[in-house]
Amino acid sequence: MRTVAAISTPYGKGGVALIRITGEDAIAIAQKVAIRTGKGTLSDALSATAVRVTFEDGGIPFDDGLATVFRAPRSFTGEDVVELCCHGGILVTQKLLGAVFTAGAFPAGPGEFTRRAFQNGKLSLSQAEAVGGLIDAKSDKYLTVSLLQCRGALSEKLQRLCDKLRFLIASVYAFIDYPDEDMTDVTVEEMKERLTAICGEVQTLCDSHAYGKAISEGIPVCILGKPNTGKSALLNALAREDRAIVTAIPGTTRDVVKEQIRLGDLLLNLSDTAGIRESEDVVERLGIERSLRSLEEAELVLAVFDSSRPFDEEDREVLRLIRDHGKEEQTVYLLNKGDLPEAEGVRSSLPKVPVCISAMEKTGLDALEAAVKERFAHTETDSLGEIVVGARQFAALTKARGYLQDALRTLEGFSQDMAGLDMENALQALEEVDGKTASDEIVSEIFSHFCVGK
Amino acid sequence: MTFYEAEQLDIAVIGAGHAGIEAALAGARMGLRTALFTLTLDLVGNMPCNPSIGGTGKGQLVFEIDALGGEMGKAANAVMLQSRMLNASKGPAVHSLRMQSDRVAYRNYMKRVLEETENLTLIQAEITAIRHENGTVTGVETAFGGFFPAKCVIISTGTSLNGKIFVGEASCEAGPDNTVPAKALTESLLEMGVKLARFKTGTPPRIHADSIDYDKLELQEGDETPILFGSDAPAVNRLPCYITYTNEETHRIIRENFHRSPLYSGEIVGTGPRYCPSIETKIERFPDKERHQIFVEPMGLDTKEVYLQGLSSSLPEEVQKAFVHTIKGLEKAVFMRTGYAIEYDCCDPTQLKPTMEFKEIRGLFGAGQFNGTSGYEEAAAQGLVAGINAALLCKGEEPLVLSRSESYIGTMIDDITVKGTDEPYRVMTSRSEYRLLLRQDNAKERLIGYGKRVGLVGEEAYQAFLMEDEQKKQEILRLSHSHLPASEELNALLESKNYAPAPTGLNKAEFLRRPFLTLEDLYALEGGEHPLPPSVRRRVEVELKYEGYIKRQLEEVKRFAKMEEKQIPKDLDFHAIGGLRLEARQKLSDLRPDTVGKAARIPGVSPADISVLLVALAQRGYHDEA
Repeated sequence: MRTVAAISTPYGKGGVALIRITGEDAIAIAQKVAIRTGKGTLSDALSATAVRVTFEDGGIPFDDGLATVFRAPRSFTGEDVVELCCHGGILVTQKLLGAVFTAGAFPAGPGEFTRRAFQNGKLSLSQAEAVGGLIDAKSDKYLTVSLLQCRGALSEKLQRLCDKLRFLIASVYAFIDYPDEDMTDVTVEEMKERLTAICGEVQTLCDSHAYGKAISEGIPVCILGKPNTGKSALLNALAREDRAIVTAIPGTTRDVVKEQIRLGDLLLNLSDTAGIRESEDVVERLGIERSLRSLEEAELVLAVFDSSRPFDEEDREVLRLIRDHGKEEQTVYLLNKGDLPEAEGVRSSLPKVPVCISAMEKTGLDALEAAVKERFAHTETDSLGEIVVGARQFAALTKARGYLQDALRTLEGFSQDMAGLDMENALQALEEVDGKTASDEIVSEIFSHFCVGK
Repeated sequence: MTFYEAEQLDIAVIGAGHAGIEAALAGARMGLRTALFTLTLDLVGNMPCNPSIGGTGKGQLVFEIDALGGEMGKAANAVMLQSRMLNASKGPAVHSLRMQSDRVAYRNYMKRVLEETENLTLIQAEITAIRHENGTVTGVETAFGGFFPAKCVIISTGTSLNGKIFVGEASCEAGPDNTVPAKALTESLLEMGVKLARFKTGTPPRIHADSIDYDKLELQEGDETPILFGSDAPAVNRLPCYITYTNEETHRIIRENFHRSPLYSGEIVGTGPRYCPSIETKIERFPDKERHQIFVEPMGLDTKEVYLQGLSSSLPEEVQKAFVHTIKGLEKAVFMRTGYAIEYDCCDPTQLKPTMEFKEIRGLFGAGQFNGTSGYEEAAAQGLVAGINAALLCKGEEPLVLSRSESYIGTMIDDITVKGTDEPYRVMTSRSEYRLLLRQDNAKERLIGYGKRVGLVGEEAYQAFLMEDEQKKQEILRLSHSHLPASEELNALLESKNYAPAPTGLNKAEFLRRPFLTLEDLYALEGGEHPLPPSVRRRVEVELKYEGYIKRQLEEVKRFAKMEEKQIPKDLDFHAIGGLRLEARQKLSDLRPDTVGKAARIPGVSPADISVLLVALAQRGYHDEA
């Protein structure tokens, strides 16, 4: 595979910048631009040991720095890798990269370093994806999860599941291929039991995705309510800044205002929406349509009601909308304006016990936080490495769970040969999570999300 | 030695075992001048091991051979002693028919068929060399100085090629059943550049029926309604089998004599079959198992010889006697033939195309154990494919290649030619990823068209199949569009199988989709006669009951076809593709798969390597990426 290079540090001025070269000719190419200070050349440098160099372009020195050689297969990509460390000026960095290209390297594509690491068997797919997580992490928990998975925690878990399943498949076929051998190693009952256990573990992995998503890309949250209940004030209170315009005039918010906030480890992608009411105003009506779309996509709904005004038809419409969208389970009911006297009958009109807050006074927010965390909490800290973060992994696991359930049903009535087929499909789906059977399309898709230099 | 020029042939087949017979019959029946050479005319179609045809996976092969117009199924039907459907309770995809056969009657049947076939000569002669010019075979030489010019040569030497037999410390150069081995041919093959390997297999002792205490054995009867290979004709079981078990004492004797086995003393260098181990290997490998099952099988109607399936051994004769005498019912067993291990030369099958022709030598074909497989059925299937393709080559017609998704034969050939094998290869249902589609019941549907095309299936048989196929389609259509009215009988039946009652009745196809309800139940409720032949009924039932699964497999076949269509150019330099891991580069360079689908099946080539390969092919402009 041809030798490629890219700047691995962010674009812009900095103290130092790092250019990474990987491929068969990495050392030969680096040698042409990085002249070792003192005796010897880069090719005699010890592996994984930085040496002083002078960077030259066409024989003219332009910077002093460090170079580190990692020899295959003991490098990140599994190929020969050289890391060149120069001063972090924009011109210096560009000049060095240009010199490396002139010396024979090609520009690296997005995620190419990680992709090569995957293709050379240095990383499993879930490890490769965790590298992305390490770089993108905005919360400590996500950082921990990514690190554990980078080290292979999820891969190992998947490997164990695959091994268990493979054993069961082998038993089914041993039964079938050697009917005369009076084998009684695994009975159908035992098989069902073991399959149920595997199915349970896959289920746990699937369930962890709610939390995994909450700490990585964030949960889509819709703030919903009739006009002037204080939805925008709530957004501002949660965001700890005046993000949305707040007035006493009903219908102030016309478009959806989006904001990502942190609630402990959880990331919430808040959408403050236009208040729901019948409106003649064209702009407001469009805003309300968008509110409904945001409700549809939401995995958490914060339904805001005004405790100081009597419960009316518009409030009931909000409850209806939540019900019609099937979001009752995902909804937290908020009674806002707790600083004002409470009108009668509001609280009793709500389907669940509400959380009382005052968005203006910023009170009750702790209770709100607790209610949200309860929905997305992950309590077992020892299994952080087994939290499913990516949507792709989640989809493959969901598929595997489906096949496992099929297999269990098949064992009930249909025959073992069909159940074996279901189990093989489940195994394939599980292997897909870690790229063991990933198709070319999947692999390309994954690495296209990385940026150049990773 | 000077050679006289003997008769001009189109096809010369070396060895008249199960592979050679099918090869020669196919060649001659397709109109080519064919000669079948054998070391002894008295052992044509011999069964030197189990007196049975079929078994798991193997039953499917026999149905497929039959559908293509081969002889094995017909011969087995004619000499059947007992017929049993294995895995009857484990689902239709793995139903496998196994027949005990009258071994001598089988040989006689086959010899007669060969003798009566037009264009075919059966000749007793040792082939000592294969002649070739410019990478093309030109004929064969016999030990008595004959040179038979031939356009194609099929090697089906079984275990006779450089055969060596071992019984404990004793050994001798011999083929199966103490026949004369073929020794000269090996050198000729090496001279042609054929890569050879050495495999071994073994067989159990045979004892006298009168020395067995049958009262102490478990009786194993055949099926109540015995089924034949590819035929709805009525059949009768003639002789039963019996079951007994080894015990701790048997195991102790074997364990104490491990060191006297040629396998452990290093005498035998060949690799044995993992899937058909000797009793000493079983005891070594599964030390916790308290007993092993032994089948006591008759060898024919006119003989008292009895075969002990499960006791394959190469221990010294005295040890074999001692451990057999510890087994219940066999305490006084009188030995007639001693068990032995046999070592033989075979080729590395990755040198073959899926037509069974050698890639580098035009007109030279291999089949059966010579190709590294084990089993009569595996051999016959390859013989048939080799014979058909040799005939097609002589006629200048397109070759016949069977795919993995349409047959076990194709699966086996793909396995051995793409991946090779490091032990005698046996077909198993788990080797097929499409086993739900590759059933015994639909073998004709899958393959009879090919048999018809090449001329091995006659017009009459083909029309009979088309008629049955139409009956099947009509019946499926009828059941899908008609309703079973509500009735007390229906609800009683549903209740007895733990299903919810159907107060408004039930669609008939829906009825059949319930796992515990059968077509027979349905016909009983309909109250009428069912005129359909049993084989059609089986197909109707399976296709309706497993419709969902079958659909899913058909989708997989489509996906498979996509990868299979992507050709890899013959001159592609895998070493020049950066990004392929070293192991993958080496494997691909050695085995040179001609499609991406085959490349993906090679062990040591990962999905990541395949994506690299696809990208590389796209970059070189061969086909669109992914």
